[in-house]
Amino acid sequence: MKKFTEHLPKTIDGYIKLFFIIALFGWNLVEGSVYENAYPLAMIHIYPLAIWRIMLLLLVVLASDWSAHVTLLLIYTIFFYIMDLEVTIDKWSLADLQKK
Amino acid sequence: MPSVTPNTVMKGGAREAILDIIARQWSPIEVYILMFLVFSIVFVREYPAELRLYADSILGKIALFSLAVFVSMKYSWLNGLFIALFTLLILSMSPRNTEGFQDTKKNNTKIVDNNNPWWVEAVLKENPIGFEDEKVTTFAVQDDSSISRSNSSRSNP
Repeated sequence: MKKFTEHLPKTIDGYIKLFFIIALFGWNLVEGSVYENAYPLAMIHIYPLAIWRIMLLLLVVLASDWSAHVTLLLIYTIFFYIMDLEVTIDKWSLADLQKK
Repeated sequence: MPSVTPNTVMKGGAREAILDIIARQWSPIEVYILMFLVFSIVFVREYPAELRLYADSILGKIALFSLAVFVSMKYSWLNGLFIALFTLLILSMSPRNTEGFQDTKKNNTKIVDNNNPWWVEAVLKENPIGFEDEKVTTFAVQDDSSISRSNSSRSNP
């Protein structure tokens, strides 16, 4: 049976990957499990900009060349982010409310 | 006479990294699929409601799931992942949650202020900015058929 320390990454790159995996895992757990959990205000304000969403997807392309695990968790993060904000905007868009 | 030195061209940044990935790994068709998917995901809300409703049907789901598997096997796993993301997004935005009794043509949305909150809003510390349905019109279940479906027999007086 291998020791626990043998499972740890051997390089700094491995530790950075591990850090991103843990961070994204925690983020998905917080934002993905409860719909009412609020996103940072900056992420809400910047969401309507298409270039921001394109940049997020380009980040996935870059991550795919680096680590498949990080890419997978990043896809989860982007899915929860887009879905939550699209549903919220669809229901409670101020522009829509002011039209009525 | 001073010698003319050519201008130094600086290279680097995310653009070069993406171009490098594309040049090393992908064929042009994969790049076109990727670009189409990126724009589809970014503007997923712009897809017409009929198309989103069709995507939510059994045939639509079979087509989308099969497409994700096919593309990931035939082209690249990243494109398959993007199709999976697009599938989940378009399914989550399909207009399937409309109940039969809801009148979708009439919108009763009303903006409210928080000067005089309802008791339940004050207790639950809710600050609504609007009511989606202030008045809801419902209809009782109608049975105009002449055939009785009841198994119970009437007792004669």
